[in-house]
Amino acid sequence: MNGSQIESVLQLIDQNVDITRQETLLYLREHQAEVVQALARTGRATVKTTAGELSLRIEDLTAAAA
Amino acid sequence: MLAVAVSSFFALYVLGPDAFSRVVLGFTLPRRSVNLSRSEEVSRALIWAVASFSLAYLWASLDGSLAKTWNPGLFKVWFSGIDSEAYFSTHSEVWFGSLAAVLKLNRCLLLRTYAVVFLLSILLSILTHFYGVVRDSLPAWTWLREAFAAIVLPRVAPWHVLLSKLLLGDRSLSIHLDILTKADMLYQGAFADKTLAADGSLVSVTLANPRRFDREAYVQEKENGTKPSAELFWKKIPTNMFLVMASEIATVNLRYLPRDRSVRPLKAGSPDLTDLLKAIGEQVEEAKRQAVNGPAFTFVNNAHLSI
Repeated sequence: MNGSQIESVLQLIDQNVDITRQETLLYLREHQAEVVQALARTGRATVKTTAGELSLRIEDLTAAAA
Repeated sequence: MLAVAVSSFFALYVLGPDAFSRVVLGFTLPRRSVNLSRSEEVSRALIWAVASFSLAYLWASLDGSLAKTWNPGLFKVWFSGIDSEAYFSTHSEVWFGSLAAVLKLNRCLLLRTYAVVFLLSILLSILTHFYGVVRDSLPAWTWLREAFAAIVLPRVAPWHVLLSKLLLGDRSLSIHLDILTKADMLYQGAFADKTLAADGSLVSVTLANPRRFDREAYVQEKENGTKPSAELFWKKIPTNMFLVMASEIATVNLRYLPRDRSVRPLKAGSPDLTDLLKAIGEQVEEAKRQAVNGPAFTFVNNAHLSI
């Protein structure tokens, strides 16, 4: 691959990650109440995306507020 | 003797810098992941030779070393001696005296040339190792990023680009693969390692935390009329080094997920997600407070009932 081909692949990777980010945002908005309850109860919630399941922990919320 | 001298200079000043740079760069970008055509190899060698010698010449000029070792009269004697056997035979004493001056000049230039090659190779190695990070910090101009790739990265094998974290700007991301084999087996796992052939083609992929999809059981459940969740039919494989040979691979799906599978790395560059996480954090705090103190309306209701 030359420079412009590598750049194209890297842009696809960026879009790939961005899709996961958008799906995470959408999931949290649609399931906000369940996520809040799970976090309050166990300190942990699961976010489902097409790329795979991600975990959301209380520490992540603290880091966001910082 | 002239041919020997010219060959030696060619090897030291033209071939040497490129070979030396490959050794240093090979620590970051393995040689077999680089696919250069013969003309590209020659061009790259010439660029290394010209650039490193020019900088070495400038260095020697500025620090005065060149002036100290420059002796045109002795160089003329030396060149005459290697060009003419007759001259060498009659002036051998003088010729050996000139040899010392020639060696001194070449030592001055060669040390600086290879030092420049070493430093530039280290710089290119660092830029290659942190390519994704540096690329993301550049302005989002396509021409700039393409120029950066052309300068820093040689012609890299496609599989090394696709299965290499060094090109990822966000180092907290990891690569996950879904592999469908020619035997219709579906495997999933985190990318651990790969093997490339000398021409850059993929030989094998190693998965960590692998699992296999039990398609027969899934299809059986569906035929029984139930609507099973696919997640239940993934079976863990008890190993951390599961090799899949490239010759057996039909298709591959690449996914990029945070290495710790948490949401935290995704909030970078997303103000909406950061704000939403803050809002969720506040709601969680409120929910915990209510769980401890009880909600405010309960007290009001009890008061109402007591009346």
